[in-house]
Amino acid sequence: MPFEDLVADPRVWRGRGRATTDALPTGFAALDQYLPGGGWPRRAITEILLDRYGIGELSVLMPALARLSEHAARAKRWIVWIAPPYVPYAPALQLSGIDLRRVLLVECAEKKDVLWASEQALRSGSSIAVLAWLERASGIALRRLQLAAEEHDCWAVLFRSPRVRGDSSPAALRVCLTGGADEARLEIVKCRGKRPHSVALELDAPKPMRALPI
Amino acid sequence: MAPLFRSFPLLPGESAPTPAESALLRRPAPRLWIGVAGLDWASAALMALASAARALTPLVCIVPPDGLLLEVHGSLKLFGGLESVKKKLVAELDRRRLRHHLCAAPTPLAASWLARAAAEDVLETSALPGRLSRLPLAVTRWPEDVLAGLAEMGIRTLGECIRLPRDGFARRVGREYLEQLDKALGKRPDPRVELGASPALRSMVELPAEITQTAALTSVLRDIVARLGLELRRLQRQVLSVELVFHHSHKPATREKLQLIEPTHEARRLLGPLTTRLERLALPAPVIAFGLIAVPVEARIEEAELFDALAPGRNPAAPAALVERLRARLGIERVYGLELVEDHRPERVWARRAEELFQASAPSAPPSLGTARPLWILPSPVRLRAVSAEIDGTMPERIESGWWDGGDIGRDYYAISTGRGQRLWIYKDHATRGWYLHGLFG
Repeated sequence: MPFEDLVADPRVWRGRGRATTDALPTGFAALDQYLPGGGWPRRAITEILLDRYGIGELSVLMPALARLSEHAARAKRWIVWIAPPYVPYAPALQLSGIDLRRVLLVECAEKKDVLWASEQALRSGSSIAVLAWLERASGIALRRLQLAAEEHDCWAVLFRSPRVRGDSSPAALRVCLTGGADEARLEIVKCRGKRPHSVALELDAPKPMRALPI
Repeated sequence: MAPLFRSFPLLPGESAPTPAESALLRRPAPRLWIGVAGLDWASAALMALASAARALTPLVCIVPPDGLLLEVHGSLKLFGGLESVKKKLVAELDRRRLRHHLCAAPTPLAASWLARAAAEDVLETSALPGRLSRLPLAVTRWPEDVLAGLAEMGIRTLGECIRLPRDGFARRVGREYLEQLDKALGKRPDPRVELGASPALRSMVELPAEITQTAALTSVLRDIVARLGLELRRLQRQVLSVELVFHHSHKPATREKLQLIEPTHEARRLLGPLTTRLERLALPAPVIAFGLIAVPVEARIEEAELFDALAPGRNPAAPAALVERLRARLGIERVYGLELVEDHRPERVWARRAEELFQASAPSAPPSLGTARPLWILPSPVRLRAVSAEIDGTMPERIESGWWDGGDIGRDYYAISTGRGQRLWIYKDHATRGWYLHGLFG
């Protein structure tokens, strides 16, 4: 086996200077400048830690997903949503530029099914992006997902609780998203090849009016 | 004469032809079927008759309990016309002293039904509606209660059935019977299975010992499926469904059927979902023999594999295989796509898409949306206790719709944000004056 092939294998860790991560522009210039390659890591796990929904966790992904959706339509690959907390709203997805024909939703009755379905979706090679709402996963399980994402050219986005922030993770990128009154704040907790940073995001949604907590 | 058949758009929930069926429909091969009815199947002459019929055409199928179907279009030239083919068939039947009625028609169901009524041949699809209309409903052999229900409505002939509004017929009688009418009239493909000549498609393994754990059967399953794949390739056939059969010593056999969303001839496409099914199956009794029944559909294997080689490392069947694998474990209803529906009501503008996940239909334009829509929608709106008065004074988006079908709504929608950064889509209902949470901007 030639040396180049050997070191190109995703299981071989090369320390510094990994040139293989190609990036997927996030659509937010403020965020891109702090990410290696200028975007989401394309063939890897991105972990998003958040403690409540509705704070912009999907809006922050939409420009990148819309771009992948174009590839997905051409290559007949799926954008798979595994165990989302609510139903993604079809009209809003389409307005964001997602091709609905490539959207595959997977509901899981049991928690262990979430990890199983995520791995199936990543390993099938027919998913271009996998979004999974995954609560618990061992380091080994996450590593398997990370390898599958690298091998099968898939962007894996895991939504998890901020409580796992202290746990180690093989994810290439780990961000913590918090909602604020005016803007979302995205803290880069871990990032292969760059330093952690914190970014304020102006999300691409109409400025909502203020109301008291409900 | 007024047209007997009116075409209507597909109803919501009415299954459109599957991709495999559409492929068959597109194929312009003309068909002519001879239906034989009124045979006495108890006769030991059955298999002999079937093989004799196979001398006339390769496509012979059994119509339980007392009929036979032969596709003869390809044989007409060889045997010198329909009358000659029929004469040969009648000779075989008479030789075995089988009472029978024969009738030819362009669709298999029409041929069977006409034969049961001892009617005359129909050679053109365009003549089917008129000729079928005169038949009594009894020829369909639909269940007694269905026929009784139709009789109560004063419907006794096929013609009266065909003239009923399609949606009403589907709702009151059943969608499957509507589909049968379509198949008989040639509006929907009706792929038939030829009388099995290949023992490998029905494969049974006697187990050396009684087995109580399905895990012990996985290696047997792998062998059987591999053999099935080879056999399908040899026959140039595909399968749309596969049934696992578990024989017990003192109980009726347990059957587990796997329905695919696209036909395949590949063992590896079948093995994954079948293994998952096997693992999740609870056996009611020890198994003494285990086997598989796969019924090939008439569709041939397409020559797509040549071009697939251009995209190395990517199996074009994989998108379907993923859906099948997920559905095998999680259930069909839990794995689905999304589609837009022409409706102004926010909860009815989208629908789950379970069938035709691969249909390349053009993306429909979203029905006019006033302003932005949230990325998350709640399955049903949640009543809120109280909402700040600060909302008053801002312009809501008013949605009023649905008065024509009883599901009318009148709502004022607002996008608000909570102090903790959640952006919500809420509305005030005009009727109840209450506030509801309907979505999150995500």
